[in-house]
Amino acid sequence: MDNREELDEIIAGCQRRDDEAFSRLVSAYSKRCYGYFYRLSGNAETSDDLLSKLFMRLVEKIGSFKGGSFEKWLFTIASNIFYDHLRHQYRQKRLIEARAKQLMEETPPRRADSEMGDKLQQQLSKLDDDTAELIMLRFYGQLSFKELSELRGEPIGTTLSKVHRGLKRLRELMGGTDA
Amino acid sequence: MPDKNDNLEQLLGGFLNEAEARRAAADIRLGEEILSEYPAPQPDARLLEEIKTKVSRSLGAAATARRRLYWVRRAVAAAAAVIIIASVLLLWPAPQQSFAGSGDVWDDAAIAGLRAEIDAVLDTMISIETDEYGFDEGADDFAEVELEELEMVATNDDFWKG
Repeated sequence: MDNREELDEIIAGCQRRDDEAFSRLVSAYSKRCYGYFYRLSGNAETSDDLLSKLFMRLVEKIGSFKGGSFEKWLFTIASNIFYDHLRHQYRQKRLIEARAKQLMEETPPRRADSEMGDKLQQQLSKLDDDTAELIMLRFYGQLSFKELSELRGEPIGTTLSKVHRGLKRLRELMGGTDA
Repeated sequence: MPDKNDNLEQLLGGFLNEAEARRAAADIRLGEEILSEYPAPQPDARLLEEIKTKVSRSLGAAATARRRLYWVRRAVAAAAAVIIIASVLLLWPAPQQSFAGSGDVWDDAAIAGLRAEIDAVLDTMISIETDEYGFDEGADDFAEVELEELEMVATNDDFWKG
């Protein structure tokens, strides 16, 4: 959102539990947050679910926003939700591990959206999760390197190095430069 | 494309020499251009409507639950007060009064007062039970709302994240 005053007004409305303000917040941030979830999960259904969870979490937590960068606050929550999702997936995987072979035999493997999606999605999946998430946080969260390093609790040099290496690698994978 | 005005060359210059910093900044910009060239799909309009409806419902349910909680707390506090008063009166009975032929330490006024307090608490609890305060506006069932809140606490509790 470009207009800081308008954003402040929306946030104040949300903190008063105003329905209309939340509706404006959803309209203002849904595309960027969806892009963030989609590029990390590569799956439209998962992104739908995570986006919904994000805004429900905002309803609970908006009162705890005390000013500063709203994007940084919002994408910290989005990042937590994404990692919760990964942990849940991991637990589920472990739970069905015993039956995995049997299921594989019964059902032909389903292709993930990412396999059918665009070239960028395919190449992104070749980056390690941590780097891919940093790049998505920077791009969709429009966060500065300082905000990114604060969000990750790591030195700014580390963040710069990870993003630089990740984007350079992505460019190589996309064929934009000699590897 | 991030719109924050990071001075990339200057930032990177803190860690690299000038030529390396310029190259690294160019790598970052070109990498981010690729992300712009491949926009992610957008959320479905129907999904956004669903989210807005859910948010709206959640705001309504939370308000109802808050109102219920307020009255329940009042009733519980009143009941607790009565129990404490009754306990105090039982544990520390009033000095024996010399009613001829009566060993009863409670006088009629004290019993009547206690009875009135108990009646008032019972009335309040019945009023809450029968929803006389009018906070059951929606179709929400109190148990359901409370359960939802407990679920929310359970699923969203991120204390372990530090």
